[in-house]
Amino acid sequence: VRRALQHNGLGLSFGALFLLALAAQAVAGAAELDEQQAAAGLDRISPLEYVATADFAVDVAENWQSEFLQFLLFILATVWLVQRGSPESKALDDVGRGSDEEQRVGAHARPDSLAWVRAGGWRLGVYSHSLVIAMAAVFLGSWTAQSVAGWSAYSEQQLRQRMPPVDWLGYLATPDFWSRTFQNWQSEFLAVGSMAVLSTFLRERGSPESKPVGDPHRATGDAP
Amino acid sequence: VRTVLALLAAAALTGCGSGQDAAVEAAARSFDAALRAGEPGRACAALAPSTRTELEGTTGQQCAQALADRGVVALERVGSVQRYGRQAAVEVHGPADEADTWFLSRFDGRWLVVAASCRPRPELPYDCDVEGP
Repeated sequence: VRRALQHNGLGLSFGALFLLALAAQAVAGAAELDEQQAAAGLDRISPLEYVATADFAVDVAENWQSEFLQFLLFILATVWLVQRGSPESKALDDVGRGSDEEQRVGAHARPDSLAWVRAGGWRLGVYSHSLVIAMAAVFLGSWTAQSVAGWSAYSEQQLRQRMPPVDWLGYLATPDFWSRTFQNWQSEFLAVGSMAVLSTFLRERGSPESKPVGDPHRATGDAP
Repeated sequence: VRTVLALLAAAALTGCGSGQDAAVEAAARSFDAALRAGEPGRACAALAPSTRTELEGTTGQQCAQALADRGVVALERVGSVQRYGRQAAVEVHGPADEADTWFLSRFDGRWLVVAASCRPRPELPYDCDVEGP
């Protein structure tokens, strides 16, 4: 058991942090909505009731979609774009999809390659992009969930203020939807760009996200 | 586990769906029935506490008297119910098809009227004769 915990330390600890942060978000978000309800002379709301509201759902979904969009774009962009000296980048002359030999597919598939790789055809095509497909699916799913939960939360807020609610298409045209979307996107793009550039010059000894401390700034990817 | 999740999802959908819309309409009809029966005291019990306090504060009258003086449209038919979470708006049509909008909110599982005799204003909140803070 101890060995299994140690071998899955990254996934388990970030999973635990995720749950703790989600619970903290629920408590803080409930307090905020409760204040709004009280100010409008309406019924109070507990954290347990809050997690079933559209307010909570939209706040969760808007952050999820932007995180998965970030990974989706970063995975795709690093196929063709490089950053000189960054450990996040491939070697400068290594851009593109790579040869079948490098990717160990087609005639170069090995006996221990997955069955879908050895099968070739559409299975190989799907598996060759499975990471991006998964990220894109969660991104689109979360963004859609954001639009639906946001529509409900926005309309509920409108009614609380004795204003008319909107339909789903109407919500997609509101500043609320796009403000929630872009405020998350800008921070993700900044974080990814900063990581690619700062990791060129700065180090964290022992982290695989960093180059070895003694490497020169110009060393890029696997070819220092 | 899958069955339990499916049941929970079904229960959540039912709880948040048409059942709640029917409960909103029933609360509106009950408020109207009390007014039409000449029982404004019972109608006051269908108002949100903050709305009742506001009504008494602004008119200086007891809720029942203040409500009777407001001349809320008698409900002939319900045009539409728009409900999002704990808030709802009901479009009410009177005997001469005059339109009115009532706002309701859920309090501890019960739907109560927070505003009535409301007229829409472009870009602004509805203008209501009976309303809370």
